Amino acid sequence: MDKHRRIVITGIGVISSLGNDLASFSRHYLQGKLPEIQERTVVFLETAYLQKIMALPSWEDKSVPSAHRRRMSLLSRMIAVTAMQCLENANLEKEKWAQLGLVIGTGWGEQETVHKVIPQVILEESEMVPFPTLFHNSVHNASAGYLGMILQSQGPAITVSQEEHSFEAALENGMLLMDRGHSRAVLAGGADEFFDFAVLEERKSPFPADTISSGSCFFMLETEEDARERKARIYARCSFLPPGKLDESTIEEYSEEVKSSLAGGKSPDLALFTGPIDDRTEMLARSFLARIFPTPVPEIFYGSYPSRPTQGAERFLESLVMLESQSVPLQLKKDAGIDHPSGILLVCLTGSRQCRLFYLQQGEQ
Amino acid sequence: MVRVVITGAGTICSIANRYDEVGPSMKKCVHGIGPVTLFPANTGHPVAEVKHLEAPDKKRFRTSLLAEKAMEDALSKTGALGNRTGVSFSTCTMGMLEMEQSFIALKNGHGSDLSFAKSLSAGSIANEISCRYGFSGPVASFSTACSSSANALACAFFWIRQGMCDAVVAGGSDSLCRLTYYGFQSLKVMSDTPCTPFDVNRKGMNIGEGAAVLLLESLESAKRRGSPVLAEVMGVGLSADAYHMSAPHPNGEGAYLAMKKALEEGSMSPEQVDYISAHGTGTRQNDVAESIAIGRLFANHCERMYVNSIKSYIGHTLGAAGAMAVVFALNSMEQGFIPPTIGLQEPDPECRVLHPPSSGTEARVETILINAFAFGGNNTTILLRKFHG
Repeated sequence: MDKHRRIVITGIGVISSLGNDLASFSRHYLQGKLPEIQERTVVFLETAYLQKIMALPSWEDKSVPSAHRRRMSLLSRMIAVTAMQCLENANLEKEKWAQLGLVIGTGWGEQETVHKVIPQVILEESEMVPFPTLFHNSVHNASAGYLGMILQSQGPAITVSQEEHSFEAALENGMLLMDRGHSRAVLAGGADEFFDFAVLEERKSPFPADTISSGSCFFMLETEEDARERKARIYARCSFLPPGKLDESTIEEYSEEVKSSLAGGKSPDLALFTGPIDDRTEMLARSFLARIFPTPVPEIFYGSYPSRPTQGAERFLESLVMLESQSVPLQLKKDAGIDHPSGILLVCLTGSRQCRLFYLQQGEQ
Repeated sequence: MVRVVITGAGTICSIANRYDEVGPSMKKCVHGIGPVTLFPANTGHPVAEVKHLEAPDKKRFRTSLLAEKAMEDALSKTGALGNRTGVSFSTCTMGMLEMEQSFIALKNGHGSDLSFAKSLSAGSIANEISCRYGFSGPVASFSTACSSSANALACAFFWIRQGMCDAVVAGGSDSLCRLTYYGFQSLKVMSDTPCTPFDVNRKGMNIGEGAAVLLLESLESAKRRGSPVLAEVMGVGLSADAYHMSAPHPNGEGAYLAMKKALEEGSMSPEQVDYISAHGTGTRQNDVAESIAIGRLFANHCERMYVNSIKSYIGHTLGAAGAMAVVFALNSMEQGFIPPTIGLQEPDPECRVLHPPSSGTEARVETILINAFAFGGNNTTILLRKFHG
């Protein structure tokens, strides 16, 4: 693989059920606080469904100009607000916004808007066209369009929608844009909005069991050189390792590829596995790790299915919080036996065992 | 630097059921634009439908079926691919057509067994392809409206250049549905006749459907496998207008930047480009803005470089449009023929570009720029060059 540029995280923005800014998210995460859950009744056509969702805290969106705000969906506003939080947190000079790359990962995209448009186009008795604003807001990249206008950014603006790897693929794309010289700085993130169709997903029961959520996390990516030059705060260095697939026939070749890309660098203090992980996947994952690192690396499996496709963005943020604060939640300390991680390997898996790997290392060293 | 080449191409659209049929249809200057038959339509706006596409299984989405046909076509002559093969795909409409039918059934008090989650997932087709063909490389899907498949190609190009994959299956697929049919009408950009981009009397666009798939490969991998090379991908350009959600920047700012960046990445000068396959939707705003951007970047070279729009053949295939334009461009390159923009009789004086004559033209086609623009001011350009070893 070509040599990557050294990429660092210099800004964070978050709206989630654990907090609507970095400080409250970090505090709640390290305290081991569980997100609040509420029940909400959704009426889909004429059937009522009860859905458990993670409560989203109230949040201000004054950073978004009102001319845009009144047209935007909740998803677009969440994305705009977290992106602005992120820019503020990164303290990136405004003149650099014009060439920023934007990479947004979203699994569900604008489905809530689609839900509003469809009833307008299925009336057969008359000529019916939807409201034009609703229509152009129904595309997955509506948020990227609004964000580009707000920031007046003419850099690449990409929207990735790859189910439970939407955020991970977006982050990878952001880093590729920098590696390939298309952007010097990239705002990359993941966001999803709870939408009413979700209650019908693979179940026709009026009382679905899964808890789902809304939220958005954004990260400012810069080259280490640029960040140091402008004396930016560095949360972590981030490298992406070769993506691949964890199965019996490829694990040997794949682990060798990952091992060689690490080129004998320092082993991580902790490996976090995210995504839907069954017993077979867990066994393969352990074997994969053992093949790469000569000494055992403490590992944690976040085995549950994500409560939204871009839940991985929060796992990424949690890792940054641990590296920045040099502490871990009590439960994780008990499970993994570590308390001051300086390097975390995020192993992000999908149901078909597609694997994306991000290696985060403490920034200010 | 890893060189990236195209070693397979497949398509299905309103004028061709496979790649080999594109060239002859292009030479005959036939379009596939006609009345809507997929669903009852209350307006007379024609579309470019794929005919005789029967789903073997009613649960199979049309978009996914189109993708499968194009995939089979693209891989029909390529031989076995290795483990390090990725999938970079795109779709905007996903299973929208089937979901609309389900909604109508539910509204009328009937049941529906549609998987809503699957029908709404922009990433499901890419996952299906990866699993069906047993690829182990990365999977990503792009949903940037009408530039989606061009962005999927850009990602494939990056993956190979960066050494992450030896080969990538890249493209896009979209089916017609009520949402886009009536949605574009709400923007008042649909033509009630077959579209005539760049014509002063044009009335707007026609939407279409189809799928296009390209196999991108590192040159080293293509040589190792003995694959015939169709073209080399020299560069991609990505930009945003930062201007309006559904209208292009009037001076084509973003379009200009995307084309410029693609040339820069390919280390080529504007004078080396022989032909631009324009985004060319047939709306005044697009055609004029794109022409201004071309004029600004190519200056006097505009007098020698042809510009056309394949949307006059197959309508606007939305999420598949960028990859579809690449498929047509490969045919042009192969045959040394640049097709006309069908129906273009009186060029718009505001679009000062060189249009091919009405029967097309034999020409030297070494280098082609392909434009794909989208809602949100998203612009992507792909730069192709004939492969010379």
